[in-house]
Amino acid sequence: MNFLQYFLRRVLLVIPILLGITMMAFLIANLIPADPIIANLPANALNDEDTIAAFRKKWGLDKPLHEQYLTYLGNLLQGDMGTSIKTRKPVGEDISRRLPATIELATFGIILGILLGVGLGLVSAIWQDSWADNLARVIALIGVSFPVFLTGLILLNVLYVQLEIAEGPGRLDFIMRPPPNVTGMFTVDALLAGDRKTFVNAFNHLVLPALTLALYISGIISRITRSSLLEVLNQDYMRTARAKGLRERYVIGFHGMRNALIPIVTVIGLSYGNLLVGSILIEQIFAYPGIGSYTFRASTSQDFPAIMGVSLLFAFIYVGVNFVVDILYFFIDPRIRVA
Amino acid sequence: MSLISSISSSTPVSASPNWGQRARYHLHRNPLVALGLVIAALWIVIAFIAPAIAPVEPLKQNLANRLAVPGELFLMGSDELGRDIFSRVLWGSRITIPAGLAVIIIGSALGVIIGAVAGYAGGMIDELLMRLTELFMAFPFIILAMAVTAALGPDIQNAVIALCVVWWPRYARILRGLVLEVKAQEYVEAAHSAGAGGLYILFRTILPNCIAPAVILATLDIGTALISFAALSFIGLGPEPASPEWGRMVSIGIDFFDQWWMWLFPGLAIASLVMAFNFIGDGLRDILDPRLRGE
Repeated sequence: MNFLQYFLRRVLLVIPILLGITMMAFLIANLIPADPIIANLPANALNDEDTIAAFRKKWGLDKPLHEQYLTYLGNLLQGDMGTSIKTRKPVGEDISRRLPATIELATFGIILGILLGVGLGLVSAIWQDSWADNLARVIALIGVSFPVFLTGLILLNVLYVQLEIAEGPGRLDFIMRPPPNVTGMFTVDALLAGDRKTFVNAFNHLVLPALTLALYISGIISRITRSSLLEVLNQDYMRTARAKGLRERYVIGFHGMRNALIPIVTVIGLSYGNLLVGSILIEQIFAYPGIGSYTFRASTSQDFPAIMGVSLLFAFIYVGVNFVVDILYFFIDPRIRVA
Repeated sequence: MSLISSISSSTPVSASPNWGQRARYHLHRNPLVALGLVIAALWIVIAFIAPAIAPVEPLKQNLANRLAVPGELFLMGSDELGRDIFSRVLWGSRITIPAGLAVIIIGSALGVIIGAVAGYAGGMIDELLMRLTELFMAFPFIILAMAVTAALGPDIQNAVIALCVVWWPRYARILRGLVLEVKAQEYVEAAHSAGAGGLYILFRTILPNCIAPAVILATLDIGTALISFAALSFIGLGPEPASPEWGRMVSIGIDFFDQWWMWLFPGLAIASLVMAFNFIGDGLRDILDPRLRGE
């Protein structure tokens, strides 16, 4: 199978899932016993017949359910996800303003988490049953066992309040001004503007929340790295690689890791699914104005259009990430190309 | 799923004649399992006897002694209404442990049934159920849970229902694979030719041969269920604010960040319980999957 065939087949598999997700979001929104008109329109518009009629027409509320769904889908394709009850702004606008902050945090956290997790897993597997293995495994278990909100609170208390070696909540110090908006990610924007001071400040503010996220996902990643590498290490081709005199570094790096990579990549992809939960909890603790804190507020104030918008966003991200993982398989595992 | 298939094809551990000896051997090799068992047992005992051993009623306010530092009067300090954190932490086990176990039991049972029906029925039913499973997996669990609790109203029972709704898909997937494997075995064909009905074959012939991996997966999963329940109540989708639930106590404690005992102790309670179950699960995985033992 060549790459194009493989790619197209994956794309075709994704489309029904995306449609299903929108349908599920639509059904959930309809099952919730809240009047969409009361839920979506400001209180002062509820007496205004024209506004209500316009809203009904826009979302097709006077039509049967399946037509409502098509209207919903049509609006969605134009990027219209309704209006947030809480912020009174279009959900799409809210999301696009807050998403860069979360992407910045998540990217940083995931890179840190992969480095930490794969590193711990490698140590664990290579020196199996040694004190280093045990230490790495206990760290991994603590990582998956400590609720992220507790890890975050402890880090914040110890490193920021007690030792004063890390920056505290928020994206920047209060006196700092955000860099000129290009990507919405403060570190990137500060670099683009050549503003070193803002970059350092924004970066330092990222450290604690990203570390919290990293500790959590590194636990999952190091466990799977350890077990899948251990499985590979016992294989005959590893012995062959050593027998032909390869250095241990190459044996582990090229023969071992390459074969252990598939489960690791799968888990990294799946841990994106935990990202939303992670970002809701972490952003809440670090007063970080991203999608997570937006979701938290939407949830506590029953802001349904916002909740549905965020859920679509994350379901799409999840599908997208797994799509990328599928594509990566093609390059990691030559057997797929033959199948 | 190499672990799962290796278990389904090998003989169960308990079938060994001297399993007591083997258990001792494994506990010796995996001291963390022993530690996990002790901590988990301790928490379960606490859950049963909390009313007898808690020094103060968990809801009793003592406004004269608000936000007291941990010390003689309050072992773990007191909260913003002068309630005893220590007593509340003890009582919290009576909420979290049953909730977590309920999610595991109901959620996995649901998944087992759906997966088994899909795998056994095949064809359109299989296709439909599996697409549904994929959908539920793609939908962020916290959002589904939020939607369910938004519809039903936030309380403990609804948080458990919400988690069950998101818990089953993984089990359904694994069970379907196992049923497909077992369905091809000769003894199933034998049962078929002996005139057994479809439901009989599914529940009496196929399922008993698939259930062990599901039980193991469920055990590995207890920690995750506990932590998810705590996360839900942390964001206010669980029990009412006054309730001595650990996640809820931590989230209220954030507003009193400098009174670290308000969030640290309930947080450590969750962490210790989850860690205990993860120690057990991790050891179990090692014991059951000989390939990871490096022997």
